[in-house]
Amino acid sequence: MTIGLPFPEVLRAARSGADWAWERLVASIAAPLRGYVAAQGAVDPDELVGQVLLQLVQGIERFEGDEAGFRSWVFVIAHHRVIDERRRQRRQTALQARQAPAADAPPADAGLDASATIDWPQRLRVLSEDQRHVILLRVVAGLSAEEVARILGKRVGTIRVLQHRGLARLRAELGAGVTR
Amino acid sequence: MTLFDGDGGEMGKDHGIDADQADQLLSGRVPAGRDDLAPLASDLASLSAAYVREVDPIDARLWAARAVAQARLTPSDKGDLAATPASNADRPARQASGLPKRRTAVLESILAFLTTTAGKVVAAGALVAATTTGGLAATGNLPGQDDGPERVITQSVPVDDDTVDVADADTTELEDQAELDDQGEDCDAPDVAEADDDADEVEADEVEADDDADDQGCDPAAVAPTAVVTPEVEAPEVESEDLESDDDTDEVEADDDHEVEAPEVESEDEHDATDDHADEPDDSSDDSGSESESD
Repeated sequence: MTIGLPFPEVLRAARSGADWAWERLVASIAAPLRGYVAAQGAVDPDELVGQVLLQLVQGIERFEGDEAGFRSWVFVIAHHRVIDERRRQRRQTALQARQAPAADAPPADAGLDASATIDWPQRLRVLSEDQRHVILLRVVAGLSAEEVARILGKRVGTIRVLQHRGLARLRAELGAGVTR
Repeated sequence: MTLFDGDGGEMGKDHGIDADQADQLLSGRVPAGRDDLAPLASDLASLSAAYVREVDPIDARLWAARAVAQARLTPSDKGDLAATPASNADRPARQASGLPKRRTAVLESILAFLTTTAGKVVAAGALVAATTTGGLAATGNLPGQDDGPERVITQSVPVDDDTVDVADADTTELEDQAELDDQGEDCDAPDVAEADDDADEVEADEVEADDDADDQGCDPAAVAPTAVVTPEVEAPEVESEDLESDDDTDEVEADDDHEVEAPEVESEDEHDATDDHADEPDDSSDDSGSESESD
C-alpha cells in the first residue's frame, strides 16, 4: 500500500502532529510490519507493532529521507524490537527450563494465517538466524537486497549469499515434504 | 559474523539459482525457464500470504492514534519526555523518580496549613506545650520524673502533723508576712505560747514571746523568732501550702502535741535572745521582749 501523496508533504504533516498524515504512514506499512514481526515469532504481534509505531512517532523529527528510506527505517526499528523480544523469550525460557532453548526458531505461530497449509514456524527452523532475517525481510516485508543490507548492517553481497543459501535449504526441505 | 554465516558445508555447491532467479523466487515468481523452481516459488508465495494480511483501515487509524497519544504522554526509554526543551539551563532536568515530588507536595501542604488561622493556633499551642513540657523537664517536675508515688499521694492528702505547724510558721513568716498582720488570730506565736504554758517547762524567753503575743495580738515581730526556727523539721512546701490558707490552723496548733516540739525548736535558734532576757521578770519582758526578738 502506498501513501498516495507526496512523501515530503506527508512527512512534514506527520512531524507537525497531523493525524491524517500518521494514518497514511501507518496504513502504508502496517501489513508488512505486522507480518514480519509475526513471522519472527512474536508472541503478541500487535503489541510489538504498537511499540514500533511509538518509537516511530518519537523519532520522526530525526528522520531524513524518502519513502523507501522511511520503510527501511521502520523495519530497522522492527528488527531491533524483534531481537529484543527474542532475547526476552530466551531469558524466560532459560529461567523456566534452566537450559538454553534448542534452537532460535520462532516459538509460536501467532499471526499465522489459519488457512496456511505449510507449518512455516517449523519450516523456518532449518534456516540460520541471519538467513531467516533475510528471507523474511525479502519475502514478507518485500524489501530489496539493498534495503535489507541497510537494516541488518551488512553488505549487499553478504545479503545475497545469505538469501541464496536460505533458498537452497528451503528447497531441500521442500523435497523432504515438511507440511502441516 | 562471518561472511558466509558459518555455513561452510554448502560452499562450492551449485544450487542452480543465480541472483536474478533468487530475486524472482523471493518475490513469488517462477524464473523463466526454471520450472523446477515452481514449487519453491509457490512455497515462498504462501509464506508471504501466511503472514501478510491486509490491515483494516480502522485498525491502522487506531494504531496511529495510540502511538501519537503515547508519544505525547509517556516518557521515552531514557526517562525523558518525548517533547522536551532544547536546554535545561534554566533549571535541572526533572527526575524520573516520584519521591521528591511527593515529598515536596507534603511540605507545601503543611506550609499552606500553617498560613491559615487554624494552623497558627495549632502551631502556637504546640509551641506552648513544648515550652511548658521542656521547662518542667528541666526543673525535674515532670510527673514520674523524680517523684515517687509517695510524694504524689502526700500532695493530695490533707496533713495535720506536728511538723505542719512549725512548717506553717516558717512559710508564713518567709512568704507572707503581711497576711499574718491581717489575720491576727492566725499567728503562730500565741499558739506556741499556749503550748508552752501547758508544758510547765516554759523558759523566760518563751514567756516573753507569750506575753508579747497576748498584748499585741498578732505582732509580726513576735512571730519572727518562732518562725525562723525550723531546721530539724521536715516540712515540704507543698504541705505547708496546703495549710497556709487553712482557717483551722489555730485549733491544730493548740493540740498537746506541740508541747514537745515547740520548746525544742526555740531552744536551738533563740538561745541568744533567751540568754539576754533570762533573768528579766515577766513585766519587763512585756515591753522589751518583742523589740529584742525583732532585732
